[in-house]
Amino acid sequence: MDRTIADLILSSLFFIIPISVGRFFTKQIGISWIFGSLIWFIYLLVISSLLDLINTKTPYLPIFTITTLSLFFSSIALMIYKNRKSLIKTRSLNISKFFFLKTFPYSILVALSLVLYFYIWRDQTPFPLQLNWDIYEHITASNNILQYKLSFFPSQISDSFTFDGYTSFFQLLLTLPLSLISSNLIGVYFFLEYWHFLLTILVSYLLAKTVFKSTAFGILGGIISAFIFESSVVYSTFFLIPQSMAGVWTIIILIGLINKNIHVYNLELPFSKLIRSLKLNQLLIALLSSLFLIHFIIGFLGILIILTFIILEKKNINNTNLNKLIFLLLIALMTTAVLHIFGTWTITDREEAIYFNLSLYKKISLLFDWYSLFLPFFYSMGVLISVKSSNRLLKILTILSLISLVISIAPFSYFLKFFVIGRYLINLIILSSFVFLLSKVSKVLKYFSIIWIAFVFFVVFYTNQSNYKDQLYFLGYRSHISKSEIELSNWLNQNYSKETLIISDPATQYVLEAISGINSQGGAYMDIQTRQTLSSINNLNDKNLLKERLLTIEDRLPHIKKNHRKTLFIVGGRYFKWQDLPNDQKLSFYYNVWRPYPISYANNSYLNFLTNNFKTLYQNDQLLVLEIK
Amino acid sequence: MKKQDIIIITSTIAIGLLVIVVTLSKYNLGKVSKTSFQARLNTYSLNVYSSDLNELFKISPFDDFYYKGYTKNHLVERNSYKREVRFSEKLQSLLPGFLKPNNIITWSVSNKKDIYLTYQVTSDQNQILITRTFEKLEPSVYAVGQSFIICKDCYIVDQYKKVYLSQSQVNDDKIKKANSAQFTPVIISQNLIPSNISKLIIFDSNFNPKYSISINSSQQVFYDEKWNLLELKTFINQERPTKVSQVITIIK
Repeated sequence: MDRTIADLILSSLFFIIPISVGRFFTKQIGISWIFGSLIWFIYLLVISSLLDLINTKTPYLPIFTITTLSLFFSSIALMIYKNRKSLIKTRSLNISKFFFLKTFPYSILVALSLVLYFYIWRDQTPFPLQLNWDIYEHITASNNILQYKLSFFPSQISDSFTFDGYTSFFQLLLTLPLSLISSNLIGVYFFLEYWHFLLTILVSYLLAKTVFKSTAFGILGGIISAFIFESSVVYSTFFLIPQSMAGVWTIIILIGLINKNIHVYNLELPFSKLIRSLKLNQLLIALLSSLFLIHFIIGFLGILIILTFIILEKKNINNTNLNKLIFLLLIALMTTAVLHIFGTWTITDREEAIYFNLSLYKKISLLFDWYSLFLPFFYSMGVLISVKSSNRLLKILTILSLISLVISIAPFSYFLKFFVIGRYLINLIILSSFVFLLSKVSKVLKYFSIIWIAFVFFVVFYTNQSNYKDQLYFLGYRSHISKSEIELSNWLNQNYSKETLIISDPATQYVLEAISGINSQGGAYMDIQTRQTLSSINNLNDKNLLKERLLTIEDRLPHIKKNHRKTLFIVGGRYFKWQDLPNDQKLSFYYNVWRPYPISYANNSYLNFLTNNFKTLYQNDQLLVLEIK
Repeated sequence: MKKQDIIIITSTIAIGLLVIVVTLSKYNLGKVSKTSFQARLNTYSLNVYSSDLNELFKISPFDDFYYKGYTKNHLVERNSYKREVRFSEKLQSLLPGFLKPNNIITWSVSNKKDIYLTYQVTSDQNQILITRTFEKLEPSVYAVGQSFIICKDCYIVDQYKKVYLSQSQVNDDKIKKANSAQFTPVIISQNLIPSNISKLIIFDSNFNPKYSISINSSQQVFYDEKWNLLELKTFINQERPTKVSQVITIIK
């Protein structure tokens, strides 16, 4: 329980620390979070580069912690100083009707988020088990940042990254909570993903409220967002990863632009003139840079969306021409769909790209899983309503939603990921159908309909998330990791250090490395050479040959490799399951043993061979750790 | 209430109901979870696992047989496989989770031609009843083979403590293990197990008992150790549909 509360508090620092600095430049919380995050990234990158330049033997972590804490507490102190007069004044608690009405929507949405996240999504996935496969490489990189140094690209920090689709911005932000108290990110992530989920609901609420000027429909917008779970490729709500963060940031910036909130906060500080000179366009450029740095590809679409919005809003494009643009995009949408007849194209030469090259049928099938009939029916209606409406803002957002949709279903690998931004806009257009229909009925029927629509969305959501988690069942829980793996990780963390290299199948070493902080070669992204070595020792009964081959495995980053002194070989159910895969799947990044497995009866004899020939350091019901030397 | 109100509300409710029906039809059925075992319907097989999720056995139309004349044929080939979803299953899928029966899995398949078969798995405590119902078998089919793909490196033992080992797979290590576990190794050729048994018990590679399969006196038992395939050949009468059942007891 203590650790749960500690990790809950630490998770909030992911937001509070950047906001504490960003608030000096802008009043709007969301914008200050993004801008503050950028300042932290640049600041710590400079510190890290300076340390590299000096080539000091001083350990990186204390300097990182000291500078982080200094900046954080300085910014808190300055904020207190700035608001000292208002803090001194005593205020009576003002529970007015106005206050109640202002906080009521947030209360509803927070309550909804708590129920959905902790009671339904995490039903059989208690703290600190996880449902997000992608977090482990980010946790590993964050651990390495604290152990070694910060570099611009993640591939320079951990060999779990074979491709730099983003900078190390996200991984750096993950380290911020740990700058106050050391903890395991696996527990912090449990709560981080809740905050992210809540954030996706709140930005949807704010966007809807801004567009429709209605609290009731704003709440419905938040509810719709909460109930749309993209269970493949996209993962925008429950999974906190760079792409989903880029999606949220794009919408925060968009809301800021719509509300004309992207301006500088007036400060009475020594550098006021300098800060006031940071005009709208410069702040916007900084925000767009953040988008790009957090995820190159999704960030690029985010920038495109933002710039398109600015151009359409500022230029004197009349409603007729906006309608023409909508029609053009509808034609583009149909064209994109028809293009699939000619095939789909793999964009990068990455081996896994081919598996993200989805057919039109598969994409439509996925959209249907996430939205059921709501997307074809109500999105179409929403587009039609937008065309007939005189609401200029609605037309522009419809255009943006169509741009995202056209790109998302284009016949190229990975393109469906762009839906991580598109989903907010598409949900808004779906909502516009409900707004149109329900604004014509009486108030009682309107609220009844909202409840009914919310219930139907809930059924879609419940089925969708249940089907997603179904494949992860293991010993009463639904998770990618087991309690035994966490226990082993804790033991590794307590008994070993960065001098140790763990070797197992890709999935096992991926999760163990992240949770324990003990290094492996590439985690789930171990390279071909290591895969071939591991495959070659399948059921190998020659002790010396086995040892010789295992000892050839090394980390690929020089600054990490040089520390390697010990090798641990870890076998378990996942390992044997992986060894049973066909060879082409073992050599592929795409195939993993996604959930824990028990050691089966068939593996007992080989386990006996291993324990008879190598020293057993640790054993639990699922895993065995052997010393290789 | 205005006419417009009625139309809008009725449409909203109707569309909502349609969404619910369509969505729930995709809810993943095909699971039975008990404390001693778990049965799950996968794409091409029905698998039964122990409580710690070790696979105990699986059944599949690709491994079952039918006997006609002098030939023995697989019930369904992979390239002609089709899953048939009965209307009753669709109705069942519409029920909320807590109202769905949690001790039955029904799986209907066909070879798109002349084989239509339903597997039904029902369970009670630690007993599983597997029933195969054949809709329209040809009159010339005189027997069906119910197959179980048992766990790898597991052993088959009858009620007389005899361990059956295939002639093609036997080795000294297995014989030694069987003897030290106080069982009598019996080497079988042609995969045929002698007919005077009423029960087969499946042991894991360390000779821990896992589950037992009851055998009828009229059934012939074949064991192909290379494929871990245990087949119970059941002679059938002309009655259609034809039902054959097997009881499996999980040993705790």
